Amino acid sequence: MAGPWFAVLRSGGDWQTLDRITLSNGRRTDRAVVQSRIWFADQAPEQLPLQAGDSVAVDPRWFASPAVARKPTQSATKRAVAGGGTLSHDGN
Amino acid sequence: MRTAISWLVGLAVAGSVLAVAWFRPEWIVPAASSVQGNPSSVAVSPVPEVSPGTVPEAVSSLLEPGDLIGSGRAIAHPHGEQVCASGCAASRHPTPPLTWAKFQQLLARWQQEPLGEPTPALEELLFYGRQSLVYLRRVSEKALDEKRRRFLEEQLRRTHVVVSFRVVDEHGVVRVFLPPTRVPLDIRHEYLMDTHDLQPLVTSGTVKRVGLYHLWQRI
Repeated sequence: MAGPWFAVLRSGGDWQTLDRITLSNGRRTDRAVVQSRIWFADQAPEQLPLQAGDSVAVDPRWFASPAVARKPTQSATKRAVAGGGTLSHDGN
Repeated sequence: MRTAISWLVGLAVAGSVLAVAWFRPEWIVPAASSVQGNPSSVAVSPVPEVSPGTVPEAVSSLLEPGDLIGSGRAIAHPHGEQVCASGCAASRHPTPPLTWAKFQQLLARWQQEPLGEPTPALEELLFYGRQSLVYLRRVSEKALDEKRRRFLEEQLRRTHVVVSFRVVDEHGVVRVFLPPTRVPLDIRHEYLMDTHDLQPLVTSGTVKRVGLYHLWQRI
């Protein structure tokens, strides 16, 4: 897996996109976003109405091309290679 | 029967020793002292087991029984001194030791700042988390306004967070998901994430407090 990702998140905030990546299972390749949420334990919900395989509404901004195309950074490429290429950064 | 009882007693003793080694390592190996400060400007309640200028360096020594019990989806790793040498995913991201002198400085600065707002001194005190809490409990009643003490202690007692993580593909399918999972601050964990139409992942992360409302996450 690629990464690591570092982020500062506000407790109780909405999903925060950490990165855009390329996701491959060996049969198909998709673009994807990596997202995280966090709460102080005394503010957290016990469950989220979500599980792997569910569908969620895609915000077009998640995958919008940047105004100026940027090359993947050396460190991002290194991480993707080190991670076996399962997930790789797409230049975000 | 006697053999069974002997086995049970042996297991109980071994379990107790392991629990002490994990939660109170300083009972077995004395914690190394950090830089000593001069506790002159803030009065200190006499607590014999830890001198005012000493802070346990390992976060694990500040944990209390039950602190590492999570949801079963996060596995704690021992805290250590590793830095980002072979890859940040392997780092424990240890919090630097807080000295008594530094704590005094921060407390004095915070007393000049408005209460209840995300001010620099407060957020630094919160960054040190459990270490600040150890020192706060040694500050005399006269040295700190009761309202401020209650506020700071309430914030410092927030030692756990709940994290959730997902990877959503361009078709809106959640391919990776970590349900809300309770973990203690400052301790690296490996996460057991669900995947859909994707091979299993090996993931880990650490969360540190960096503000009144904000948390830093490495995943």
